[in-house]
Amino acid sequence: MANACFTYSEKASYAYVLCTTSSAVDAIAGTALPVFDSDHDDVVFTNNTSDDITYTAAAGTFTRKSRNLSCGFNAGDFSRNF
Amino acid sequence: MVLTLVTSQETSDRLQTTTFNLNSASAIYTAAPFIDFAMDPTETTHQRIITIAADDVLHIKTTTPGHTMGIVKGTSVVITEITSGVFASSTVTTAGSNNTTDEFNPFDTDGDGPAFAAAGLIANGVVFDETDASMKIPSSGKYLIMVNNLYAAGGSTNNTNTIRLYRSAGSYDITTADERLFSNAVKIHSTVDPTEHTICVIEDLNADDYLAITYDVGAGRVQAELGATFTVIKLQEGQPIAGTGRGLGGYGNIYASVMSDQDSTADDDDVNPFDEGTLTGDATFTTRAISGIVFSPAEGTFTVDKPGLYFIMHNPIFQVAGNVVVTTKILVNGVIVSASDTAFINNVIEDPMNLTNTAFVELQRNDVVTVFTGANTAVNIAHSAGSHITMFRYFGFFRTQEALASGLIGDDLTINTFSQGNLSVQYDRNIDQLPFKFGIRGAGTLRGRGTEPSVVKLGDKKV
Repeated sequence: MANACFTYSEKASYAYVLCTTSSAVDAIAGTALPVFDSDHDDVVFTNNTSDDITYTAAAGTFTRKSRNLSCGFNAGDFSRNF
Repeated sequence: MVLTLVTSQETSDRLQTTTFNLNSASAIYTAAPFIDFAMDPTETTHQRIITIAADDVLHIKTTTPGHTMGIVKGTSVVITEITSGVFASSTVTTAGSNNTTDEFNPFDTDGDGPAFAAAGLIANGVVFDETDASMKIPSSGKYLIMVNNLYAAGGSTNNTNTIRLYRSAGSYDITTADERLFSNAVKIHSTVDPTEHTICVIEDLNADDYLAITYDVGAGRVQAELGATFTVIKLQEGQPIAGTGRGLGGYGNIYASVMSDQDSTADDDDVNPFDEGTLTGDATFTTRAISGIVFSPAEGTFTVDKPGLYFIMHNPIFQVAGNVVVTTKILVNGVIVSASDTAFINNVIEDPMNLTNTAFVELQRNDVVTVFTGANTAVNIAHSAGSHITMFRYFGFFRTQEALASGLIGDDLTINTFSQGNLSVQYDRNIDQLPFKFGIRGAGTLRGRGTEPSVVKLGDKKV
Protein backbone atom coordinates (compact mmCIF):
# COMPACT_ATOMS: atom_id res chain seq x y z
CA MET A 1 0.00 0.00 0.00
CA ALA A 2 1.28 3.45 -0.81
CA ASN A 3 2.60 5.67 1.90
CA ALA A 4 0.06 8.20 3.07
CA CYS A 5 0.66 11.94 3.07
CA PHE A 6 -2.84 13.25 3.17
CA THR A 7 -3.04 16.86 4.13
CA TYR A 8 -4.88 19.56 2.24
CA SER A 9 -1.71 21.44 1.42
CA GLU A 10 0.00 18.33 0.10
CA LYS A 11 -2.87 17.05 -2.03
CA ALA A 12 -4.76 20.01 -3.46
CA SER A 13 -3.51 23.03 -5.36
CA TYR A 14 -4.64 26.38 -4.03
CA ALA A 15 -3.59 29.79 -2.86
CA TYR A 16 -5.54 32.24 -0.75
CA VAL A 17 -4.33 35.63 0.39
CA LEU A 18 -6.51 38.02 2.38
CA CYS A 19 -5.81 41.61 3.34
CA THR A 20 -6.69 42.04 7.02
CA THR A 21 -5.26 45.53 7.50
CA SER A 22 -5.45 48.20 4.82
CA SER A 23 -2.38 49.77 3.31
CA ALA A 24 -1.62 53.46 3.36
CA VAL A 25 -3.80 55.34 0.89
CA ASP A 26 -0.75 56.23 -1.20
CA ALA A 27 0.82 52.77 -1.26
CA ILE A 28 0.58 52.50 -5.03
CA ALA A 29 1.28 55.34 -7.41
CA GLY A 30 1.58 55.71 -11.14
CA THR A 31 3.60 52.55 -11.67
CA ALA A 32 1.83 49.23 -11.50
CA LEU A 33 2.75 47.38 -8.32
CA PRO A 34 1.78 43.97 -6.97
CA VAL A 35 -1.52 44.01 -5.10
CA PHE A 36 -0.35 41.45 -2.53
CA ASP A 37 3.05 42.97 -1.79
CA SER A 38 3.72 43.01 1.95
CA ASP A 39 6.03 45.98 1.45
CA HIS A 40 3.07 48.33 1.04
CA ASP A 41 3.00 50.66 4.04
CA ASP A 42 0.82 49.42 6.90
CA VAL A 43 -0.67 46.50 5.00
CA VAL A 44 -1.15 43.07 6.58
CA PHE A 45 -1.92 39.93 4.58
CA THR A 46 -2.70 36.43 5.75
CA ASN A 47 -2.26 33.49 3.42
CA ASN A 48 -2.97 29.81 3.04
CA THR A 49 -1.31 28.06 0.12
CA SER A 50 -0.71 24.48 -0.93
CA ASP A 51 2.75 23.03 -1.11
CA ASP A 52 2.95 23.39 -4.86
CA ILE A 53 2.22 27.12 -4.93
CA THR A 54 4.62 29.60 -3.37
CA TYR A 55 3.31 32.99 -2.36
CA THR A 56 6.22 35.40 -2.09
CA ALA A 57 4.89 38.18 0.09
CA ALA A 58 7.81 40.53 -0.45
CA ALA A 59 7.18 40.45 -4.20
CA GLY A 60 3.46 39.75 -4.25
CA THR A 61 3.93 36.86 -6.67
CA PHE A 62 2.62 33.31 -6.93
CA THR A 63 4.88 30.56 -8.29
CA ARG A 64 3.69 27.11 -9.19
CA LYS A 65 6.16 24.38 -8.38
CA SER A 66 6.19 20.89 -9.77
CA ARG A 67 4.79 18.46 -7.28
CA ASN A 68 6.67 15.28 -6.50
CA LEU A 69 4.36 13.23 -4.40
CA SER A 70 5.46 9.94 -2.96
CA CYS A 71 2.07 8.54 -2.25
CA GLY A 72 1.01 7.02 -5.51
CA PHE A 73 -0.43 10.05 -7.29
CA ASN A 74 1.04 11.61 -10.37
CA ALA A 75 3.58 14.35 -10.13
CA GLY A 76 2.46 17.58 -11.71
CA ASP A 77 4.99 18.93 -14.14
CA PHE A 78 2.35 19.54 -16.77
CA SER A 79 0.28 22.66 -17.15
CA ARG A 80 -2.93 23.00 -15.20
CA ASN A 81 -5.88 25.33 -15.28
CA PHE A 82 -6.72 27.64 -12.38
CA MET B 1 -8.57 32.61 -10.07
CA VAL B 2 -10.69 35.23 -8.40
CA LEU B 3 -9.43 38.63 -7.23
CA THR B 4 -11.73 40.54 -4.91
CA LEU B 5 -10.13 43.96 -4.97
CA VAL B 6 -11.08 46.66 -2.49
CA THR B 7 -9.20 49.88 -3.15
CA SER B 8 -9.05 53.49 -2.13
CA GLN B 9 -8.18 56.45 -4.32
CA GLU B 10 -6.17 59.10 -2.48
CA THR B 11 -6.60 62.02 -4.82
CA SER B 12 -8.56 62.74 -7.95
CA ASP B 13 -11.08 60.48 -9.62
CA ARG B 14 -9.28 58.03 -11.83
CA LEU B 15 -9.28 54.66 -13.51
CA GLN B 16 -7.50 51.93 -11.60
CA THR B 17 -5.91 49.44 -13.97
CA THR B 18 -5.52 45.87 -12.75
CA THR B 19 -3.62 43.21 -14.68
CA PHE B 20 -2.74 39.53 -14.45
CA ASN B 21 0.59 38.55 -15.98
CA LEU B 22 2.39 35.24 -16.27
CA ASN B 23 6.16 35.59 -15.99
CA SER B 24 7.30 38.57 -18.05
CA ALA B 25 4.72 38.14 -20.77
CA SER B 26 2.06 40.67 -21.66
CA ALA B 27 -1.03 40.95 -19.52
CA ILE B 28 -3.51 38.14 -19.92
CA TYR B 29 -6.18 40.09 -18.09
CA THR B 30 -6.70 43.85 -17.96
CA ALA B 31 -9.54 45.80 -16.40
CA ALA B 32 -9.84 49.48 -15.55
CA PRO B 33 -12.82 50.43 -13.39
CA PHE B 34 -13.32 54.03 -12.37
CA ILE B 35 -12.85 54.99 -8.73
CA ASP B 36 -14.24 58.26 -7.41
CA PHE B 37 -12.05 59.33 -4.50
CA ALA B 38 -15.06 60.80 -2.76
CA MET B 39 -16.84 57.45 -2.93
CA ASP B 40 -14.02 55.11 -2.07
CA PRO B 41 -13.04 52.46 -1.13
CA THR B 42 -14.71 50.51 -3.87
CA GLU B 43 -14.85 46.78 -4.50
CA THR B 44 -14.32 45.29 -7.94
CA THR B 45 -14.00 41.62 -8.82
CA HIS B 46 -11.60 40.30 -11.43
CA GLN B 47 -11.43 36.71 -12.59
CA ARG B 48 -10.49 34.43 -15.41
CA ILE B 49 -9.11 30.95 -16.01
CA ILE B 50 -5.36 30.70 -16.47
CA THR B 51 -3.18 27.81 -17.57
CA ILE B 52 -0.14 27.68 -15.33
CA ALA B 53 2.86 25.47 -15.98
CA ALA B 54 5.43 24.43 -13.43
CA ASP B 55 7.71 27.31 -12.41
CA ASP B 56 5.39 29.92 -13.89
CA VAL B 57 5.15 33.11 -11.85
CA LEU B 58 1.80 34.87 -11.61
CA HIS B 59 1.80 38.64 -11.10
CA ILE B 60 -1.31 40.53 -9.99
CA LYS B 61 -0.72 44.27 -10.31
CA THR B 62 -2.66 47.49 -10.07
CA THR B 63 -2.07 51.19 -10.59
CA THR B 64 -3.82 54.50 -11.00
CA PRO B 65 -1.82 56.51 -13.51
CA GLY B 66 -0.63 59.87 -12.24
CA HIS B 67 -2.12 59.46 -8.78
CA THR B 68 -2.01 57.26 -5.70
CA MET B 69 -4.16 54.49 -4.33
CA GLY B 70 -4.28 51.96 -1.51
CA ILE B 71 -5.21 48.34 -0.91
CA VAL B 72 -8.08 47.97 1.54
CA LYS B 73 -9.04 45.33 4.07
CA GLY B 74 -11.11 42.60 2.45
CA THR B 75 -9.02 42.36 -0.69
CA SER B 76 -8.36 38.72 -1.47
CA VAL B 77 -7.30 36.32 -4.16
CA VAL B 78 -8.38 32.69 -4.44
CA ILE B 79 -6.52 30.42 -6.84
CA THR B 80 -7.89 26.88 -7.18
CA GLU B 81 -7.34 24.20 -9.74
CA ILE B 82 -10.15 23.31 -12.14
CA THR B 83 -10.36 19.64 -11.46
CA SER B 84 -13.13 18.60 -13.87
CA GLY B 85 -11.25 19.62 -17.01
CA VAL B 86 -14.46 21.17 -18.38
CA PHE B 87 -14.52 24.96 -18.55
CA ALA B 88 -14.50 28.14 -20.60
CA SER B 89 -13.53 31.69 -19.77
CA SER B 90 -13.87 34.61 -22.17
CA THR B 91 -12.47 38.04 -21.33
CA VAL B 92 -13.34 41.22 -23.20
CA THR B 93 -10.13 42.69 -24.59
CA THR B 94 -11.72 45.57 -26.50
CA ALA B 95 -14.75 47.31 -25.07
CA GLY B 96 -18.02 47.35 -26.93
CA SER B 97 -19.84 50.47 -28.02
CA ASN B 98 -23.41 49.21 -28.03
CA ASN B 99 -26.12 51.82 -28.15
CA THR B 100 -29.51 50.31 -27.60
CA THR B 101 -32.30 50.57 -25.11
CA ASP B 102 -33.38 47.02 -25.86
CA GLU B 103 -32.26 44.05 -23.85
CA PHE B 104 -29.15 42.73 -25.58
CA ASN B 105 -26.22 40.38 -25.17
CA PRO B 106 -23.21 42.53 -24.19
CA PHE B 107 -20.69 39.83 -25.13
CA ASP B 108 -22.01 39.44 -28.68
CA THR B 109 -19.23 40.57 -31.00
CA ASP B 110 -21.54 41.48 -33.85
CA GLY B 111 -21.98 45.14 -34.76
CA ASP B 112 -20.95 47.37 -31.88
CA GLY B 113 -20.12 44.47 -29.60
CA PRO B 114 -16.82 43.95 -27.81
CA ALA B 115 -13.86 41.94 -29.08
CA PHE B 116 -12.11 38.95 -27.60
CA ALA B 117 -8.45 38.55 -28.50
CA ALA B 118 -7.07 35.03 -28.47
CA ALA B 119 -5.24 35.76 -25.22
CA GLY B 120 -8.58 36.43 -23.56
CA LEU B 121 -10.10 33.09 -24.49
CA ILE B 122 -9.59 29.71 -22.90
CA ALA B 123 -11.87 26.70 -23.06
CA ASN B 124 -12.04 22.95 -22.86
CA GLY B 125 -15.34 21.15 -23.28
CA VAL B 126 -17.52 24.22 -22.84
CA VAL B 127 -17.81 26.09 -26.15
CA PHE B 128 -17.91 29.87 -26.27
CA ASP B 129 -19.44 31.14 -29.49
CA GLU B 130 -18.51 34.75 -30.16
CA THR B 131 -21.24 35.17 -32.75
CA ASP B 132 -24.03 34.73 -30.27
CA ALA B 133 -21.84 35.06 -27.15
CA SER B 134 -23.19 31.92 -25.58
CA MET B 135 -21.61 29.12 -23.60
CA LYS B 136 -22.61 25.66 -24.79
CA ILE B 137 -22.56 22.95 -22.13
CA PRO B 138 -21.02 19.62 -23.18
CA SER B 139 -22.39 17.30 -20.50
CA SER B 140 -24.86 17.30 -17.65
CA GLY B 141 -23.76 18.29 -14.19
CA LYS B 142 -23.34 21.18 -11.79
CA TYR B 143 -21.66 24.24 -13.18
CA LEU B 144 -20.16 27.26 -11.49
CA ILE B 145 -21.02 30.36 -13.51
CA MET B 146 -19.13 33.52 -12.70
CA VAL B 147 -19.34 36.81 -14.56
CA ASN B 148 -17.57 39.97 -13.48
CA ASN B 149 -19.62 42.47 -15.40
CA LEU B 150 -17.47 45.49 -16.09
CA TYR B 151 -19.74 47.90 -17.89
CA ALA B 152 -19.96 51.55 -18.82
CA ALA B 153 -22.63 53.93 -19.98
CA GLY B 154 -20.80 55.00 -23.09
CA GLY B 155 -22.71 58.24 -22.72
CA SER B 156 -24.58 60.12 -20.03
CA THR B 157 -26.80 57.29 -18.86
CA ASN B 158 -27.90 57.27 -15.24
CA ASN B 159 -30.19 54.32 -14.88
CA THR B 160 -30.53 50.77 -13.66
CA ASN B 161 -28.80 48.03 -15.59
CA THR B 162 -30.71 44.77 -15.26
CA ILE B 163 -28.27 41.92 -15.80
CA ARG B 164 -29.87 38.59 -16.59
CA LEU B 165 -28.57 35.06 -16.96
CA TYR B 166 -30.42 32.75 -19.35
CA ARG B 167 -30.32 29.08 -20.07
CA SER B 168 -31.74 27.68 -23.27
CA ALA B 169 -32.01 23.98 -24.02
CA GLY B 170 -30.68 22.93 -27.38
CA SER B 171 -30.54 26.32 -29.03
CA TYR B 172 -29.50 29.85 -28.35
CA ASP B 173 -32.42 32.04 -27.38
CA ILE B 174 -32.45 34.92 -24.95
CA THR B 175 -36.00 36.06 -25.40
CA THR B 176 -37.92 33.46 -23.45
CA ALA B 177 -38.68 34.60 -19.96
CA ASP B 178 -39.10 31.11 -18.59
CA GLU B 179 -35.50 30.36 -19.53
CA ARG B 180 -34.27 33.16 -17.32
CA LEU B 181 -32.25 31.80 -14.42
CA PHE B 182 -32.10 35.05 -12.52
CA SER B 183 -31.60 38.79 -12.78
CA ASN B 184 -29.73 41.45 -10.84
CA ALA B 185 -30.57 45.14 -11.10
CA VAL B 186 -27.64 47.47 -10.40
CA LYS B 187 -26.87 51.11 -11.02
CA ILE B 188 -25.19 52.52 -14.07
CA HIS B 189 -24.07 56.12 -13.69
CA SER B 190 -21.89 57.89 -16.19
CA THR B 191 -19.89 59.75 -13.55
CA VAL B 192 -18.52 56.60 -11.93
CA ASP B 193 -18.20 54.18 -14.80
CA PRO B 194 -16.79 51.73 -15.76
CA THR B 195 -18.13 49.90 -12.75
CA GLU B 196 -18.34 46.23 -11.90
CA HIS B 197 -21.04 43.79 -10.79
CA THR B 198 -20.37 40.14 -10.00
CA ILE B 199 -22.57 37.14 -10.65
CA CYS B 200 -21.54 33.83 -9.10
CA VAL B 201 -24.01 30.97 -9.13
CA ILE B 202 -24.11 27.17 -9.38
CA GLU B 203 -26.64 25.71 -11.79
CA ASP B 204 -27.74 22.18 -12.67
CA LEU B 205 -27.30 22.03 -16.44
CA ASN B 206 -27.83 19.51 -19.20
CA ALA B 207 -25.78 18.65 -22.24
CA ASP B 208 -26.39 21.12 -25.09
CA ASP B 209 -27.73 23.81 -22.78
CA TYR B 210 -26.71 27.32 -23.78
CA LEU B 211 -25.94 30.10 -21.31
CA ALA B 212 -26.05 33.79 -22.11
CA ILE B 213 -25.93 37.13 -20.33
CA THR B 214 -28.03 40.16 -21.22
CA TYR B 215 -28.02 43.81 -20.19
CA ASP B 216 -31.14 45.94 -20.15
CA VAL B 217 -31.09 49.64 -19.24
CA GLY B 218 -34.46 50.60 -20.68
CA ALA B 219 -33.18 54.09 -21.46
CA GLY B 220 -29.73 55.37 -22.37
CA ARG B 221 -27.03 52.87 -23.25
CA VAL B 222 -24.60 50.42 -21.74
CA GLN B 223 -21.67 48.36 -23.01
CA ALA B 224 -19.30 45.65 -21.82
CA GLU B 225 -15.93 47.04 -20.83
CA LEU B 226 -12.37 45.81 -20.84
CA GLY B 227 -11.97 42.91 -18.43
CA ALA B 228 -15.57 41.73 -18.35
CA THR B 229 -15.29 37.95 -18.19
CA PHE B 230 -17.80 35.16 -18.66
CA THR B 231 -16.59 31.99 -16.96
CA VAL B 232 -18.24 28.56 -16.79
CA ILE B 233 -16.67 25.69 -14.85
CA LYS B 234 -18.07 22.22 -14.36
CA LEU B 235 -17.79 21.07 -10.78
CA GLN B 236 -15.91 17.84 -10.47
CA GLU B 237 -18.50 16.22 -8.20
CA GLY B 238 -16.19 13.68 -6.64
CA GLN B 239 -14.51 12.23 -9.68
CA PRO B 240 -10.74 11.94 -10.19
CA ILE B 241 -9.02 15.06 -11.41
CA ALA B 242 -9.24 15.11 -15.18
CA GLY B 243 -6.03 14.38 -17.01
CA THR B 244 -3.88 13.97 -13.94
CA GLY B 245 -4.76 10.64 -12.42
CA ARG B 246 -4.88 12.41 -9.09
CA GLY B 247 -7.81 12.44 -6.78
CA LEU B 248 -10.04 9.91 -5.19
CA GLY B 249 -13.03 12.09 -4.63
CA GLY B 250 -13.68 15.14 -2.56
CA TYR B 251 -13.72 17.87 -5.17
CA GLY B 252 -16.82 19.87 -5.84
CA ASN B 253 -19.53 17.47 -4.69
CA ILE B 254 -20.74 19.72 -1.88
CA TYR B 255 -22.18 23.10 -2.74
CA ALA B 256 -24.91 25.64 -2.13
CA SER B 257 -26.08 28.55 -4.21
CA VAL B 258 -28.96 30.60 -2.82
CA MET B 259 -30.58 33.83 -3.95
CA SER B 260 -33.03 36.08 -2.16
CA ASP B 261 -36.27 36.72 -4.00
CA GLN B 262 -37.26 39.81 -2.05
CA ASP B 263 -35.70 43.00 -0.82
CA SER B 264 -34.65 42.98 2.80
CA THR B 265 -35.88 45.43 5.35
CA ALA B 266 -33.70 48.46 5.89
CA ASP B 267 -31.70 48.56 9.09
CA ASP B 268 -28.66 50.27 10.49
CA ASP B 269 -27.73 47.26 12.60
CA ASP B 270 -26.00 44.16 11.27
CA VAL B 271 -28.27 42.30 8.87
CA ASN B 272 -28.15 38.64 7.87
CA PRO B 273 -29.64 38.79 4.37
CA PHE B 274 -30.37 35.04 4.34
CA ASP B 275 -32.47 35.18 7.49
CA GLU B 276 -36.06 35.11 6.23
CA GLY B 277 -37.01 37.46 9.01
CA THR B 278 -35.14 40.26 7.29
CA LEU B 279 -37.03 40.01 4.01
CA THR B 280 -40.00 42.12 3.04
CA GLY B 281 -43.10 40.62 1.49
CA ASP B 282 -42.98 36.89 0.92
CA ALA B 283 -39.87 35.72 2.73
CA THR B 284 -38.61 33.42 0.02
CA PHE B 285 -35.28 32.38 -1.35
CA THR B 286 -34.42 30.49 -4.51
CA THR B 287 -31.98 27.67 -3.99
CA ARG B 288 -30.20 27.35 -7.33
CA ALA B 289 -28.30 24.22 -6.30
CA ILE B 290 -27.50 22.57 -2.99
CA SER B 291 -25.87 19.34 -1.84
CA GLY B 292 -24.19 18.47 1.43
CA ILE B 293 -24.95 21.87 2.95
CA VAL B 294 -28.08 22.65 4.94
CA PHE B 295 -29.52 26.10 4.36
CA SER B 296 -31.79 27.30 7.16
CA PRO B 297 -33.80 30.38 6.14
CA ALA B 298 -35.18 30.59 9.67
CA GLU B 299 -31.68 31.08 11.02
CA GLY B 300 -29.92 32.42 7.95
CA THR B 301 -27.27 29.74 8.29
CA PHE B 302 -25.41 27.32 6.04
CA THR B 303 -24.24 24.17 7.84
CA VAL B 304 -21.71 21.94 6.12
CA ASP B 305 -21.99 18.19 6.40
CA LYS B 306 -18.40 17.32 5.57
CA PRO B 307 -14.97 18.76 6.37
CA GLY B 308 -12.86 20.34 3.70
CA LEU B 309 -11.62 23.50 2.05
CA TYR B 310 -14.51 25.70 0.99
CA PHE B 311 -14.80 28.60 -1.42
CA ILE B 312 -17.42 31.16 -0.34
CA MET B 313 -18.56 34.19 -2.32
CA HIS B 314 -21.23 36.55 -1.07
CA ASN B 315 -22.73 38.97 -3.60
CA PRO B 316 -25.13 41.34 -1.86
CA ILE B 317 -26.78 44.19 -3.73
CA PHE B 318 -27.30 47.21 -1.52
CA GLN B 319 -29.74 50.03 -1.40
CA VAL B 320 -29.01 52.73 1.14
CA ALA B 321 -30.90 55.64 2.62
CA GLY B 322 -27.85 57.90 2.67
CA ASN B 323 -24.12 57.92 2.22
CA VAL B 324 -22.64 55.15 4.30
CA VAL B 325 -19.72 52.81 4.74
CA VAL B 326 -20.97 49.25 4.40
CA THR B 327 -19.32 46.37 6.19
CA THR B 328 -19.61 42.90 4.67
CA LYS B 329 -18.58 39.93 6.77
CA ILE B 330 -18.34 36.16 6.32
CA LEU B 331 -18.39 34.24 9.59
CA VAL B 332 -17.77 30.63 10.58
CA ASN B 333 -19.37 29.62 13.87
CA GLY B 334 -19.82 33.30 14.64
CA VAL B 335 -16.19 34.22 14.05
CA ILE B 336 -15.32 36.58 11.20
CA VAL B 337 -13.10 34.95 8.58
CA SER B 338 -13.31 37.68 5.96
CA ALA B 339 -14.38 41.28 6.42
CA SER B 340 -14.48 44.10 3.92
CA ASP B 341 -15.38 47.06 6.03
CA THR B 342 -14.80 50.16 4.00
CA ALA B 343 -16.95 50.11 0.92
CA PHE B 344 -18.62 53.44 0.51
CA ILE B 345 -21.97 53.80 -1.17
CA ASN B 346 -23.36 57.06 -2.37
CA ASN B 347 -27.08 56.57 -2.40
CA VAL B 348 -27.72 58.97 -5.24
CA ILE B 349 -25.08 57.85 -7.69
CA GLU B 350 -24.12 54.32 -6.81
CA ASP B 351 -26.97 52.26 -5.44
CA PRO B 352 -28.23 49.62 -6.02
CA MET B 353 -24.65 48.42 -5.89
CA ASN B 354 -22.92 45.07 -5.55
CA LEU B 355 -20.05 44.53 -3.11
CA THR B 356 -18.48 41.09 -3.30
CA ASN B 357 -16.87 39.40 -0.32
CA THR B 358 -14.89 36.20 -0.76
CA ALA B 359 -13.37 33.64 1.59
CA PHE B 360 -11.50 30.38 1.27
CA VAL B 361 -11.60 28.49 4.54
CA GLU B 362 -11.14 25.10 6.11
CA LEU B 363 -14.40 23.90 7.62
CA GLN B 364 -15.21 20.99 9.88
CA ARG B 365 -18.35 18.91 9.90
CA ASN B 366 -21.33 20.89 11.25
CA ASP B 367 -19.53 24.22 10.98
CA VAL B 368 -21.98 27.04 10.40
CA VAL B 369 -21.41 29.77 7.81
CA THR B 370 -23.26 33.08 8.04
CA VAL B 371 -22.91 36.43 6.33
CA PHE B 372 -23.69 39.82 7.76
CA THR B 373 -23.66 43.36 6.51
CA GLY B 374 -23.74 46.52 8.53
CA ALA B 375 -23.47 50.28 8.38
CA ASN B 376 -20.95 52.54 10.08
CA THR B 377 -23.57 55.07 10.96
CA ALA B 378 -27.28 55.27 11.59
CA VAL B 379 -28.18 54.94 7.93
CA ASN B 380 -30.49 52.19 6.88
CA ILE B 381 -29.23 49.71 4.32
CA ALA B 382 -31.26 47.08 2.53
CA HIS B 383 -30.48 44.15 0.28
CA SER B 384 -32.07 44.00 -3.13
CA ALA B 385 -33.72 40.92 -4.52
CA GLY B 386 -31.12 38.95 -6.41
CA SER B 387 -28.50 39.18 -3.69
CA HIS B 388 -26.87 35.77 -3.59
CA ILE B 389 -24.31 33.53 -1.98
CA THR B 390 -22.45 30.61 -3.51
CA MET B 391 -20.15 28.20 -1.75
CA PHE B 392 -18.65 24.86 -2.65
CA ARG B 393 -16.18 22.43 -1.20
CA TYR B 394 -13.08 22.71 -3.27
CA PHE B 395 -11.25 19.89 -1.56
CA GLY B 396 -12.52 17.39 0.94
CA PHE B 397 -11.63 14.43 3.00
CA PHE B 398 -9.08 12.71 0.82
CA ARG B 399 -9.50 8.99 1.15
CA THR B 400 -7.04 6.24 0.60
CA GLN B 401 -7.83 4.08 -2.38
CA GLU B 402 -10.74 1.70 -2.25
CA ALA B 403 -9.77 -1.96 -1.73
CA LEU B 404 -11.40 -5.18 -0.66
CA ALA B 405 -10.53 -6.62 2.71
CA SER B 406 -7.98 -9.40 2.45
CA GLY B 407 -9.86 -11.49 4.97
CA LEU B 408 -9.63 -12.10 8.66
CA ILE B 409 -7.81 -15.43 8.35
CA GLY B 410 -4.83 -15.75 6.02
CA ASP B 411 -3.83 -18.77 3.92
CA ASP B 412 -1.41 -19.80 6.65
CA LEU B 413 -4.21 -19.52 9.18
CA THR B 414 -2.80 -16.28 10.60
CA ILE B 415 -5.54 -14.15 12.15
CA ASN B 416 -5.18 -10.69 10.63
CA THR B 417 -7.48 -8.78 12.93
CA PHE B 418 -5.49 -5.56 12.87
CA SER B 419 -3.79 -5.70 9.49
CA GLN B 420 -4.03 -2.84 7.06
CA GLY B 421 -5.35 -5.17 4.38
CA ASN B 422 -8.15 -6.42 6.55
CA LEU B 423 -9.08 -3.84 9.14
CA SER B 424 -8.01 -0.51 7.67
CA VAL B 425 -9.61 -0.95 4.27
CA GLN B 426 -13.02 -1.28 5.89
CA TYR B 427 -12.94 2.43 6.75
CA ASP B 428 -12.89 5.66 4.76
CA ARG B 429 -9.63 7.17 5.96
CA ASN B 430 -6.74 9.38 5.04
CA ILE B 431 -4.10 7.34 6.83
CA ASP B 432 -2.62 3.95 6.02
CA GLN B 433 -3.40 2.14 9.23
CA LEU B 434 -6.20 2.58 11.70
CA PRO B 435 -5.63 2.57 15.45
CA PHE B 436 -5.89 -0.97 16.77
CA LYS B 437 -8.91 0.09 18.84
CA PHE B 438 -11.01 -0.10 15.70
CA GLY B 439 -10.34 -3.83 15.49
CA ILE B 440 -11.51 -4.64 18.98
CA ARG B 441 -14.88 -6.36 19.00
CA GLY B 442 -16.91 -5.46 22.02
CA ALA B 443 -15.69 -3.46 24.94
CA GLY B 444 -12.07 -2.43 24.80
CA THR B 445 -11.58 -2.63 28.52
CA LEU B 446 -13.10 -4.56 31.38
CA ARG B 447 -14.87 -1.41 32.44
CA GLY B 448 -16.36 -1.06 28.99
CA ARG B 449 -14.89 2.35 28.50
CA GLY B 450 -12.16 3.82 26.43
CA THR B 451 -13.21 2.36 23.13
CA GLU B 452 -13.85 5.70 21.53
CA PRO B 453 -10.82 6.66 19.42
CA SER B 454 -9.62 10.08 20.35
CA VAL B 455 -7.56 10.89 17.27
CA VAL B 456 -9.13 9.57 14.09
CA LYS B 457 -12.38 11.38 13.57
CA LEU B 458 -12.69 12.34 9.93
CA GLY B 459 -13.63 8.97 8.52
CA ASP B 460 -16.92 7.24 9.00
CA LYS B 461 -17.48 3.50 9.00
CA LYS B 462 -18.49 2.35 5.56
CA VAL B 463 -22.06 1.28 5.16
